[in-house]
Amino acid sequence: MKWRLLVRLFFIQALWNYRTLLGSGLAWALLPALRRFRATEEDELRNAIGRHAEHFNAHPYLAGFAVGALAGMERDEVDQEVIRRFREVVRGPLGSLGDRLVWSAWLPTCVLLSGGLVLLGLPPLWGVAVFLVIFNLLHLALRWWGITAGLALGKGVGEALGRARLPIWAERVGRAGVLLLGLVAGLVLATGVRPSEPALHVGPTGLFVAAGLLLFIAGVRREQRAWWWTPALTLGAVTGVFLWGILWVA
Amino acid sequence: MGIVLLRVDERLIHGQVTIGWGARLEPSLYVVVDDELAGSQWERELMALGVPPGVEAAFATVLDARERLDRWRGSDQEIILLTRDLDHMLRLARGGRLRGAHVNLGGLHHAPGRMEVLPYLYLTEEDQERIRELEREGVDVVARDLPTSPARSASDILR
Repeated sequence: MKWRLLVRLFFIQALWNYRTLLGSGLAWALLPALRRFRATEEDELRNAIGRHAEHFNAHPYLAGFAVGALAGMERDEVDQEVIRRFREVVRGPLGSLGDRLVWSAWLPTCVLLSGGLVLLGLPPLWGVAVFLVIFNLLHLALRWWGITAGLALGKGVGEALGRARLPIWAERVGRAGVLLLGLVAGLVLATGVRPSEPALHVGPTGLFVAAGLLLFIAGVRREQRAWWWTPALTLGAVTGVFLWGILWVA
Repeated sequence: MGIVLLRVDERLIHGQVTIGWGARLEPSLYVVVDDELAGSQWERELMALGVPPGVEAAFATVLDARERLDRWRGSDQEIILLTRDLDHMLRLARGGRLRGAHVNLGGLHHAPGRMEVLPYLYLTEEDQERIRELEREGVDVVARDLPTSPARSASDILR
């Protein structure tokens, strides 16, 4: 059961539409569970599919928590009203948690990391491989964990998610990403602008500092509470310039 | 300070509230007033996952909330108070408890029996009556999904 749900989870967005968003995909992903636990009568299965095909939304990687938990609840013959309420409550958190963790923290950080390695001399194809491996480690782990925890815990899956403190990790990964951004920005300038005279270094350095400053202001405007943008970007900038200097001498 | 936003939104704590309104108002506490949620631990746990780090979530029944209303108002925290429907908000406002306050209508989406008033606002006949009741209780009802979108007054909605 677990493996079949996991395989289907990868196609949960295939039936994406404006009316039910992930709803149809969710029902399709749950089909093995519904067939096993709700197929005593033809009508019952049809009704169950209809219920699960209603409007649903979540981050695709975290949707495993919903798929696993719903399958577990159907298995345990949990009251339909409870199942309906679970579907309703879970979509908000799974969406906002996933967006924060994956799209706005993990993805850019992985891109910056592998891109930075390429700038440091790693062959581009290796850079692509590094990105795919690192990014998908978390991606696959989230899908696996979601299905497993969901099946085991049913509607109590929120407790496992809460204990993992994903928002805090999203913030930490985001900080690491900002550092990398400063570093990669420095490297881009270092490899892109190669003045023939050492005196011309002043120009690109100024450009770099200005770019860092602009990014910093944009960051602060977006998220006032994020006081760490200053030290993080500064540190990244210094590291970048430093590396630039090393590369230049070498 | 105190309650900076009273909002009716069936999705309760979710992106439009935590990012759309949260970034503008910077609350440190979300209060969800909901009789069902307040009595269900697993639902509270799930709902609390949607809160950004460093921000708290509290849950209360309407009865509890009416008692704690003055404490929240005088609190030095910025508080966003949410209900999932107009019924909860109206019961909170009964007896002039929310006199002079603004109530924001955000996401009440399509469902059987509801008519479209605004793209993000579908109301039943009873809901429209509840809005009139709220106004009679001294509440200023305003429809607005995000701080950046135009505010629509109750008289505008109930045309």
